[in-house]
Amino acid sequence: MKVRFWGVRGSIPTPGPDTVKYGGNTACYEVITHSGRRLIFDAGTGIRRLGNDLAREMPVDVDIFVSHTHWDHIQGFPFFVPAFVAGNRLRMYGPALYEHSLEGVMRIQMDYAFFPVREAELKADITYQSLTEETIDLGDVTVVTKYTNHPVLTLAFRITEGEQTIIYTGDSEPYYNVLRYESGQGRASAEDIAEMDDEVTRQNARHLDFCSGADILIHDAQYSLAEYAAMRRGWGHSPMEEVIQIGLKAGVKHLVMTSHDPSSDDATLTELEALFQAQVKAHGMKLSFAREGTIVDLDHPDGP
Amino acid sequence: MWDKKSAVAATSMHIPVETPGLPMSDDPMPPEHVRARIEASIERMSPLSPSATKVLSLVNDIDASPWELLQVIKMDPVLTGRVLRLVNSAHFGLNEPILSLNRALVILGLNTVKNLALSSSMIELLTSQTGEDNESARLWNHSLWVGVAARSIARARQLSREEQELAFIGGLLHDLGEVCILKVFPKEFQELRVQVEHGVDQLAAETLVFGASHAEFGGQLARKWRFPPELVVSLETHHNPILEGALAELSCTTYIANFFARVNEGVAPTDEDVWHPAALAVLNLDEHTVAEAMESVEPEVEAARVFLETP
Repeated sequence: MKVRFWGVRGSIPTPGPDTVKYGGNTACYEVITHSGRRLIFDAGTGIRRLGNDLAREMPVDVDIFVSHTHWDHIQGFPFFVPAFVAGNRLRMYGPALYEHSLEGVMRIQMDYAFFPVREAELKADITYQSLTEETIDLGDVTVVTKYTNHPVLTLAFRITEGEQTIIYTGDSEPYYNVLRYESGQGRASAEDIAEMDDEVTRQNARHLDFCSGADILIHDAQYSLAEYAAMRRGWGHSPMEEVIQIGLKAGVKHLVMTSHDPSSDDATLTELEALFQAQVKAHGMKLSFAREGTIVDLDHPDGP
Repeated sequence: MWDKKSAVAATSMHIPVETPGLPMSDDPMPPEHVRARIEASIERMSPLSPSATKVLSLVNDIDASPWELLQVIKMDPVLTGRVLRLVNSAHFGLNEPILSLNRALVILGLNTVKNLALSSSMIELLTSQTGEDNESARLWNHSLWVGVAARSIARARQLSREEQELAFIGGLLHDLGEVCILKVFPKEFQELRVQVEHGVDQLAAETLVFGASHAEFGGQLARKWRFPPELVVSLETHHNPILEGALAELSCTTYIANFFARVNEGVAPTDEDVWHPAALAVLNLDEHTVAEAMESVEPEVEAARVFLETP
């Protein structure tokens, strides 16, 4: 399998001279299997160019997995050309929200107040499937899902074809005990804190287990640990240093850190990438920061 | 929007022209006595738990912390049970049962648990006061429709998540006053409903029979339960929206949602039910936008019904 990075930025598109190297488009990842299947993960602004690429091969039959429905993971969909052309088949998967289906959210996004073209003009054959934690068997490939810690229900995806496994976490923050922060501090009972500690440990262990043995782990790593600890706890994203620990503990071969913060320019990311690469070198784990427009091919791991 | 006169004319021959009456006995109870009995019942009515109002107040508090939310829910074992039931519903598909709120909060996060608690307590509030009969079921379905429609209007106006939830609650609870009447005079209320469905003016008939309208009774109960002022006023004015001041927006939202619900249910319009286009102006909306917002209501109501496991 190989993975192509169409959008690796978190939160909001960040075009401009300072983000040319790593890219400014929001979340969109394409996994291409040996059988030729093209699986799309998230529909941030990166999906526009992927759609243009697919348009050359129409009619197409694709699966689109939406990790969650925050803007930066769906906002490219109204510009995804294959959706407007009859004869294409799109299967959309994503977590069901508390009050909206995935289909409902996609429809709201195309309300005329936000977008001039009506949802009714999506001529492709589009089906929607709500996901919880489950295994989707596509025949040659399986996709296993697991919830992550994020302000809205979010799924991570573990994609396996034969012996190869690629994982994409969507947006994901390490679980932590909210009673040890904010207003719970000093007020919550010892029993409550202990129980929540236990659940936090359990969920972080589940996350590690989910990531274990990945050939490629594409993990949210939006902030440095300093940024995270300063004011971004609870925002639903991981600090880079903790992601590296996850990668090492999970025995990951290649850790790809992604969902770069809009305020991280190329110079900052280049510096951090080199720093972390040096740190993990001795542990035998390959580490890189996701870069828009690049491909990581498991069959040619040392390729360009 | 429709031919009101002919709708009324078509049914008027079946309707007693004067009072719908309270055929409880040969000597109908005077309306002021009826009213006193309903008000005495309102005095005795208390939500099953004080947590309902507390959760309600948390909705408006964007800084509500996880700890505070947990405290409110845990105070009420019934609410805790309902939240955990939703946490363990097929909707989330968790692979092992979650038996503790602390754990649910870790797994599903603050926002989801807050929404579950809110829905649960509002639904408990409504269902605990009504029975299993047809009239209660009708009232519940109507309330859910208006709640979802009001939220849809708030969403079309791009209001915040908290304001959308408040609109939902305003819609869900707008007919709380009907619950008050239904509790004390179920038979009479049902008879009046039949006539209302044939075009008899609801508020006027209620005032004639019960000494006050359901809007007034609802307002009384909401005050007693210390609902936020905008909720109280929206309950009181959902047939005649107020058009000015800080409380106008929720009042108009509930009014429009209820109006569309009644159109959807095919209830014949009455003189009290005049369409107030000014309500749209208050919300800065046009008819087209509202009609669009209403398109999503039916599927959302269906989804909510399945999710909340209500009939």
